[in-house]
Amino acid sequence: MRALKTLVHYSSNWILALILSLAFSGLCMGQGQDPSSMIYRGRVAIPPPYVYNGTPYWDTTGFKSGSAMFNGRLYEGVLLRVDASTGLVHVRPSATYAPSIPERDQLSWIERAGVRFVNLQYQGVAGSEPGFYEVVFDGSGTLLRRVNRRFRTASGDHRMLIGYDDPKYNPSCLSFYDYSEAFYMLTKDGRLVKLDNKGSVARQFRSRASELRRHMRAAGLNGMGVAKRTYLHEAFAFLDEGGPSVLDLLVTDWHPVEGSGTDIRRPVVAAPRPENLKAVLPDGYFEERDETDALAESGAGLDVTFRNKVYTIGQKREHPAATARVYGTVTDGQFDEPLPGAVVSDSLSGAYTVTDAHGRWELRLPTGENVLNFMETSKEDVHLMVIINGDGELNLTMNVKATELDAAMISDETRLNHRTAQMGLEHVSVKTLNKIPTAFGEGDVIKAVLTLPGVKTVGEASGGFNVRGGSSDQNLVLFNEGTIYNTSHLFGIFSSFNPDVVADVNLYKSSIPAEYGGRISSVLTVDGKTGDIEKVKGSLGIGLLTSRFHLEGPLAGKGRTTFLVGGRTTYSDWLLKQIPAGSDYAGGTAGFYDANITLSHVFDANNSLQVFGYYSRDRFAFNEDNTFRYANLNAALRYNHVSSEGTRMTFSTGVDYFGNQLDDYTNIHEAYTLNTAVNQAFARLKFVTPSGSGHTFSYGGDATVYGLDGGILNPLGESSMVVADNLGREYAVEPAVYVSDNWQPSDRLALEGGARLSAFMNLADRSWNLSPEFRVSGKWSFTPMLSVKTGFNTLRQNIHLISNTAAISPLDTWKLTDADIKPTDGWQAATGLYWTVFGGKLDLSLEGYYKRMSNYLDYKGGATLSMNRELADDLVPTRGKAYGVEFMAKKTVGKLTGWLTYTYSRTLLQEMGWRGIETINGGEWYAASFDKPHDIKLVANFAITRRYSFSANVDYSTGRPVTLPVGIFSYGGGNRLLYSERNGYRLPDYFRLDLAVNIDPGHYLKALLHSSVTIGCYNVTGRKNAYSVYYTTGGGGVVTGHMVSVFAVPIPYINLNILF
Amino acid sequence: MKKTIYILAALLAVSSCIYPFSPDVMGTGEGLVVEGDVLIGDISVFSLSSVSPLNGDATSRPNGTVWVEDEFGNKYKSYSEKNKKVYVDLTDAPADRMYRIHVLLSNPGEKWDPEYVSGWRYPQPEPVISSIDLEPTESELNLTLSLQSPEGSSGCYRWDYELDWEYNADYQASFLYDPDYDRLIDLSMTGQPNPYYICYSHSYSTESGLAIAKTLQGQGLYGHEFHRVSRWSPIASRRMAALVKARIISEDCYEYLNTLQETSDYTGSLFTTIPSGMQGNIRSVSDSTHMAVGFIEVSHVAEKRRFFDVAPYYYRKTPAETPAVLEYDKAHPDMKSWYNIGYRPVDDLGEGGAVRWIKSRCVDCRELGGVTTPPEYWVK
Repeated sequence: MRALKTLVHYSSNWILALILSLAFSGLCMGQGQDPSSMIYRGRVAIPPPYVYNGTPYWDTTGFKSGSAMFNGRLYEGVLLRVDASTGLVHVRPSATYAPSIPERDQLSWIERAGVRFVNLQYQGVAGSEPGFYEVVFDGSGTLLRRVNRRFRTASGDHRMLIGYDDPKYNPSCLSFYDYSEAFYMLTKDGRLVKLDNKGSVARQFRSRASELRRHMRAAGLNGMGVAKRTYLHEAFAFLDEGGPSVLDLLVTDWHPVEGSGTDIRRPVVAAPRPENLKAVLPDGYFEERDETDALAESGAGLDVTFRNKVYTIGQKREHPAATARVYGTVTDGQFDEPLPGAVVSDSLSGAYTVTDAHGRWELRLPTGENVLNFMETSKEDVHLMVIINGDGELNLTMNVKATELDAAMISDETRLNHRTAQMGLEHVSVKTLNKIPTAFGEGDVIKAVLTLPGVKTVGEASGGFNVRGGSSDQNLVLFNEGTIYNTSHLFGIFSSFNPDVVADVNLYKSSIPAEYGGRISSVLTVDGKTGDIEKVKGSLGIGLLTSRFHLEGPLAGKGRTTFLVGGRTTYSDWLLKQIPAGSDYAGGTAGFYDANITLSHVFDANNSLQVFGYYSRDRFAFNEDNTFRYANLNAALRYNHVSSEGTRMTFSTGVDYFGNQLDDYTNIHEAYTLNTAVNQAFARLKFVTPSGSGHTFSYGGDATVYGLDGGILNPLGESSMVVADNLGREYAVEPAVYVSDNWQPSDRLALEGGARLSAFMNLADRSWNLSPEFRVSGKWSFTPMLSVKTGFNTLRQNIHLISNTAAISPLDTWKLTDADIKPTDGWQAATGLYWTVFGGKLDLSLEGYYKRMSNYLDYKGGATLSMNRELADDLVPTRGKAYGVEFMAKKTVGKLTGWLTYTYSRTLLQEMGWRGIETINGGEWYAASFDKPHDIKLVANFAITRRYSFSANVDYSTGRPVTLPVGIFSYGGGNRLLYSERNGYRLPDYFRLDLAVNIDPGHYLKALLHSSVTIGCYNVTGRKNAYSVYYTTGGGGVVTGHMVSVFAVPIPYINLNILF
Repeated sequence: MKKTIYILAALLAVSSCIYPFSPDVMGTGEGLVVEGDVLIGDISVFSLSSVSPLNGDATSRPNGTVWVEDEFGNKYKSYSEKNKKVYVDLTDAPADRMYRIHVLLSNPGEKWDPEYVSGWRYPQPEPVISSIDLEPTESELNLTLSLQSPEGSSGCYRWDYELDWEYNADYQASFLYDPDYDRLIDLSMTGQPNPYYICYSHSYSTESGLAIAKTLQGQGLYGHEFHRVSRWSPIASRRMAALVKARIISEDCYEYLNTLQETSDYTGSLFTTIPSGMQGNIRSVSDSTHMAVGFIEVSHVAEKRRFFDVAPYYYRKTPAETPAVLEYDKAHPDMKSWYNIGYRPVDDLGEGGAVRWIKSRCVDCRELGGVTTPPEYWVK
């Protein structure tokens, strides 16, 4: 009884387990996809990143007709090719379909152009490698041939080794890959034997070795110079004993026939149409899309790397055009906002583009079947199979990479860098910008730009920046089409840009596009966001000194119109008022605020309009006697249109204003207010026309009207005896036209050339000048990851900052070229080497440049710059030369990202004329105020987890030049100092280390608020970096030097950002 | 919370710090320095010195003589050379010609050339000192100056001033002590005032004033402050006189002097003018590229003096602030010893009462550096 109970107990469990396993397997089977379509459901076949030996495939790039035994089913009449590097097969049902890669472990064999290839691992052959073996001879002994790849660094002509007749053979490619072929014998007992030489065959057939030798001799195949393949084929054919072949015995489906039980799929002979395909493929496999959003139901649940649907773009026509315009918007799936900087390319024509600040992209592509590739450094790559019937839109959401691939990961920036001839273009992403530690913790556009090679500043808490030896006024700073004349708040501690409204930042250091002009050193473009089209959202940032907010979203529901507003202010004023009255800082005030507004409206797919507005204001007073104010105001409008031929037109117009004011109350009888201002109105028209032959033409024109107030003096208060004075408004017009071509005749060569003709007329004295400018650059890629570029620019500048201080002062004014003040001319030649190593993870660059300037304005000793009607008499034209070498190592993929740069550069000036003993430094070359020969920067961000990251910033540079006293004497009742030659000495070197921990918002998609916190420390080492030096004279004529440091102690900070 | 705000504000204010800075500079800049102006109708004073190395001992001092010459060859030589200054009388020098100075060194050596001359210049017109005013504030008395100049002049001014003031001791003593006879003198019996109660003192401006009035009406200065006196200072106790000597200078002279002043007050901030040397107008005769430090201007001097009764503004010390007082009999045997330790009799406490003795500086005005004899121009 007891044994029976035990038997029943265990039996019951067994039965239950059996029932459950059957139920589950039935469930899985019931839910399985129709396997008949699985051969086409593999990964999309994309071109390999490397081109080795002219072709990455087994023999040619073309597909050949054949058959494939996949998952027990024979597919006849398919098109096949084999990737020689990976050993994967590409298959397509017909020429009008994009190829896919079926799972190799489901492929038993393939036959291609009459040649069979067998997957020995699928057959379970011990010792076989992944991939395919070519069946050279199948008999009682089967001769197989395999091509292996290996890395070799040897150069030279290896065509004999490979044995391929490859018209595109390129010896230099063999520095990456090399091929070796090997022959194998598969025996009837399933052994795989490698045939190292001709004698190996005889060893396998010992009993017939002599016979074999006699036969081969008689056939004339025994000598040297006989190809191994030829010898072995003949040998196996001779030794064949007939009967079933090895593969007949080993591979059960080696010769499937009708009725054999093998499911045989015939080829699709007609051009595929959705309704035909539906008869073959399961329901829902192929879905037609209209020209609107083709990804309406993509969602985040799909595996975005491997899309298995084919998307139709555009309306079908009876006579389709050869090309069509395909465009769309890429959205960041993590933050649900436009994704700038994603590379969009197609696999057929090789065309590519990059999404702009609003995530928009556009390409002109051949109609028909194609594969669109979307790549962005931090997102999973997306490859979409499309059928392009006509113009149409394709929107896409890209999601964050789930895992890091061990295989080569090449960032979109790297790809672009080796594709284009553009030199000296630095891009700062908003994410990077917010992670670079700064004083008081707020993300800062200018501070981020200062971490780039070739960009310097004269000191902490100074506005402006210097690019490759140019002064601050030689940088054209554009923010949403408007020109910003003063890029800083609060003595340079903060920049003029609210980081929450910034979408994209680009700095052109050398190859400046022909559409830009008017400045001779660089162009900094800051593009603002235009507003989320889906929903209203915003952010709030709270810091130690400032707070900011922004709000964006659709107007009147989800539609075509969006808005964005942003604002920032400081509470430094309120803090300063808390300082006790006895302190030296008591009574001081300092504050600023800025505001942004953007409206964007999309009329239709080809027309859109944006309106931008920006206002900023600064005010500070060191004591009760003086108050300083300055303000920026920009208003602009931009209209975009795309013609039916695909030409993109952009028209923008607007007004810019920068003004400053000084109120002086020192003496009520001499109290005054002094104003200066820059007013300008502009209009720009730009066309971009891609042609089909690799050219992209860009042309257009612009015009700027200036109205400069050099100085307006007015009495302040009733007791003031100041006589009002006005230097008058200086008007000028500066029109320009330009044309440029971006030509890529091949993957290796890219050329960019442009010409710009600008004119300038000062309406006051009717002086004018005409300036042709040239911009040329070229790129040659030795390999896809090794390129050399060179470029040459000429530029002219007709508006000059009048300043004799080391840094831009809030009270500096601007002056136009006139009969007495010549325009500043400059040219720059640059060359660079770019090399991507370690599988695309590290970008190395080495750029050298040489630059010359003429008529760069410097000042006489004792120059009067304010309210001076004869200003030219106090100005000294100089010539300048700047040269340098910039090395950069940049890592943009992986957990650790950032860059390390070293720059050696010099900037020297020399007075052009001779003023006798008053000539600056006796006519010798002298260092400019921003000449800092050595400059090392490190910006690093380590993503500990997806939420937590650690940032570090290291900045080292040679101290800036300074003029020091060398003697003392008594004069006029006081001690006076005698100074050295201008900029004859240097301050101590500058070094700073900043660290920060960033805590990003949690990924709770349904939470209303997300917050991020940054905790950091500026100047961790507390180094007392010199800001300025001064001297005091004590009793007995003793002179004592003092050095002032702005941030002489570590400055901890904490910043809270709230996203909603 | 308040403490937190203090800390935050202090963090902003004091995160910047000042440290010693002693770089190795090359060169000593040992140039010749010539100071002074040619003052038509007045005495001109010139001095010769040299630039000294920073924080080092001064090198040898230039010795020589200076004279003024006009374009017609007339020379005006120094009549006195004392305190390292050269005095040249130009009281009768005509104003209708150009003038310059001529320097001849007796010890030129390797550092200096033997002869230097300044540039020829016509005399600048004489300004009009329209007023000298006093503007009291809560704690100070501000002396202000208003100047006018003829039309077409540069609108640049330079001035020096002298102050004379009458003050009194804190206490009017009614007794004097005669140390020779060891006796008290009752001044009420003599009918004489205390001779040491009222004194007069004098001071000169240490640094010349400099101003430009090109943007002001008529290119004149109005209420331009040139000196401040504390209302607790003895200067403000009774009567004060300010003498201003002003002259017009050329614009280039103003730029030179102003640059000299600004660069010596150089803070090295990124927002201050980069210092650079300015060449004056004194060059070597043998080599015109060798310049001396200094700028010689030729001007007419205007002077004006004004008296101010400042007693109503003076903040007198209260009795509680006076030092300790001794009260003893009128013929105490220790009077001499008190006298010797710096005490003086001041008054008595009534008929037959004791005499109070206090610190001498409270009753003897001479101890504050003055004299009892007023200047000859003093108007009471």
